[in-house]
Amino acid sequence: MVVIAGVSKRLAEKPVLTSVQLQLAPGRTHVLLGCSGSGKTTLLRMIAGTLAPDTGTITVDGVQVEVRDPCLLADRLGYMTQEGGLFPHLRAADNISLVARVRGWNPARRAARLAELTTVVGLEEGLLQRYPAQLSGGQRQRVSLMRALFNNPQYILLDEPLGALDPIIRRELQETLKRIFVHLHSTVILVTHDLGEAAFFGDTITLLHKGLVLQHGSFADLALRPAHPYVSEFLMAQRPIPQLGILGS
Amino acid sequence: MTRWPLLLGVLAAGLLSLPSGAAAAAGTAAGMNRLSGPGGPIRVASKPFTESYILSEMVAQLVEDVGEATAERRFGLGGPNLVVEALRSGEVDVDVNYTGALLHLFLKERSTATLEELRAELLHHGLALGGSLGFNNTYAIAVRRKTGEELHLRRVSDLRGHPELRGAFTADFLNFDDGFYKLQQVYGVALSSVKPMQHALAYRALQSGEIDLTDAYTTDGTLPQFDLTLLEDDRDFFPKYYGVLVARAELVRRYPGSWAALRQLDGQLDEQTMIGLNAGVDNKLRSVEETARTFLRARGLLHKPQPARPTAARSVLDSGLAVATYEHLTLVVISLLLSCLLGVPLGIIAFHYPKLGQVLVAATGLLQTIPSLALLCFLIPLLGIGALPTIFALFIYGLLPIAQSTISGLQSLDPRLLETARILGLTRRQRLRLIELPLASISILGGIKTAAVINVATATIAALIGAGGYGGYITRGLAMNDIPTILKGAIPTALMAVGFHGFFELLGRRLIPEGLRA
Repeated sequence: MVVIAGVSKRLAEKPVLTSVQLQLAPGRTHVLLGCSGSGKTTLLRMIAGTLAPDTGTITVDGVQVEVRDPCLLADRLGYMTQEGGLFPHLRAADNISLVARVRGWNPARRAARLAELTTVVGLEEGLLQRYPAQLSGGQRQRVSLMRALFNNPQYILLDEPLGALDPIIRRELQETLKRIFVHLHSTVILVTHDLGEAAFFGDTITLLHKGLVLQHGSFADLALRPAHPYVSEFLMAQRPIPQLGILGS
Repeated sequence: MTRWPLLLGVLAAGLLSLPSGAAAAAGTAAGMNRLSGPGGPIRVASKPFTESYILSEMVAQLVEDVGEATAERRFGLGGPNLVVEALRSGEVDVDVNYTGALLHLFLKERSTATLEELRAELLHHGLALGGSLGFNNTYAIAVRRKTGEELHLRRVSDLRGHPELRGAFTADFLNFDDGFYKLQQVYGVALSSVKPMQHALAYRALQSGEIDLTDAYTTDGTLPQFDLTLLEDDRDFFPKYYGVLVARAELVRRYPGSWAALRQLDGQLDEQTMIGLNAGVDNKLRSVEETARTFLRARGLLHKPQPARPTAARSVLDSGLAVATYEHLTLVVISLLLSCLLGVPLGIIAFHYPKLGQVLVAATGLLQTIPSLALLCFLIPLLGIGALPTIFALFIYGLLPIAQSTISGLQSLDPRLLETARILGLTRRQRLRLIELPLASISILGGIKTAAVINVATATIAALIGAGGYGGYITRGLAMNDIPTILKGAIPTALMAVGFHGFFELLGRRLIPEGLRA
């Protein structure tokens, strides 16, 4: 259980988050939805423990998150960002097993976990010996996902994990991610600006706007019982796909 | 996974593979502030110009002829102050100096002081003074003979009507209180253009018409070769610069026979004799060694038949290019390793504590601006002369590029990558070792390469403080206006710089992670 209680944050004199109250239940997938500047990534960084709130507290399973170096929750967290956040000087396999290596996992255990995850995320094994620059965008995200999952984390934090991908790859990866989330029963917190993605993943969706939580609920709640005019506006901004049938014979 | 630890390995191997260089450096340290021990050699210094080489060679040969001690030649040490400093701190034992320079250094009211007063003053500093060798090698103003004839310049006061003439003078002459600026006052002369220039370079500039006036010495053997005229000092402005022996008082006490033999030089060398000896060497008719020996034999001052040249002789030029290369390389490699060992951590600290970093970088930047010869002068009382102060100076000069490149390498890292590393749970130390340093390695190695190339060039100053290297050829070549000898030092220096550049290119291929080069 992640409990966010009265969290506010100002960065460079501007309010980024204002009095955020949220409870994120364990074992579910929670989406933080909003435009850029809504404060969703800032909130994710606070949960990860790299940024401290000005006021309010965040507790994870009853323990208050503090900014520590290294991160307090590191052992229980998986983390994945938009460009993958892969270290350019390490091969894919070394990126994935970096943390296990510094934690002293023996090579056999690391290799076994690597093989297992390669199957889970559907990455060609030969790509593991490549450097990030030698991989495609989709391949990089699969590697990044493997790194996030390596420790079998209780919490998986994803910051726009599919933001930079082309539509077909994006769709494939969405399905891979969803399959894994369902299978793992981890608590997933995913940041996105894409309504379709939010609807696809989210057991709950939290819509943020200018640092305020406008609504927290299921997609149906947001669509049928909008708590704020902006919620409807945001949902309506999604352009419907034209009926292509009329063009065909 | 990462090749970074290899760099440490290379550094360590480098340190271990140079024990003799390190031992040489340590040896110099041990010799600091110590007199030549019982049976130890008499260390004869010379400054880097022809006359000084000849006179000091005479001193060395006389010492060898007496046989109380061997002579160790520490020739070509830079600048009059540096040699006097070395004498006072016990790094060398004897030198031939000039009354004018000594009066200026020890007794500011030089115009009234006599040789006896100077001798008494030097004794307070633990130094003994011989008598005048006979010649007065003072400053004079030189012009091209042709210019002199065209403008009717015969005396210094004739310069008054010619402010358009361009002068270039040695730094000593410009800076002495009784140097050029005082001369302008006394003679009422004002030149529009006055620059500092090294002596041999000034002669070449004069010859090619770049300048019109320079300072010369009255016993200079190259005046005819360059077709120069000396202007008469009609107001008796220049002080007297009689050649005199200066020795440590301990030498006189411990080796009275040698000192007595050296004192036989008093009054033996008038100006014409000195000009002739200088000209013989400057025109490459005779070597310094041969010139000294022929003169001493002609005056009946040598008694032994033909003493073998002692193996302890310390002169770059006698030991050849291989030794010079070894010396030069040792200076550069040891100083560079030290610069890396301090510079990289300094850069890391400066990156993590920016306020402290600014202070540290400003401090290394400040050290960087100290001219090398000045830095060596400061170091003599602390580290003596030879390899140790040179290595220290080069180490100081290497710090800034290495620390700076470490800082900028770390600053250029993507902050999101560093945050990811934090969230993944890497400790500060693990991030530095596994992520930050490897990612900054291109920049850091670039800084080390820059430091190495700069150090190869700067190490040529080693010759001025008796640490050998290629600078020996350059100093001696400049002193004697001998371009082939200059090139013998300059070309290997350039080649070594290119070699270091290439070495670091190759090292980069080993050290910089493959993923960053793709």
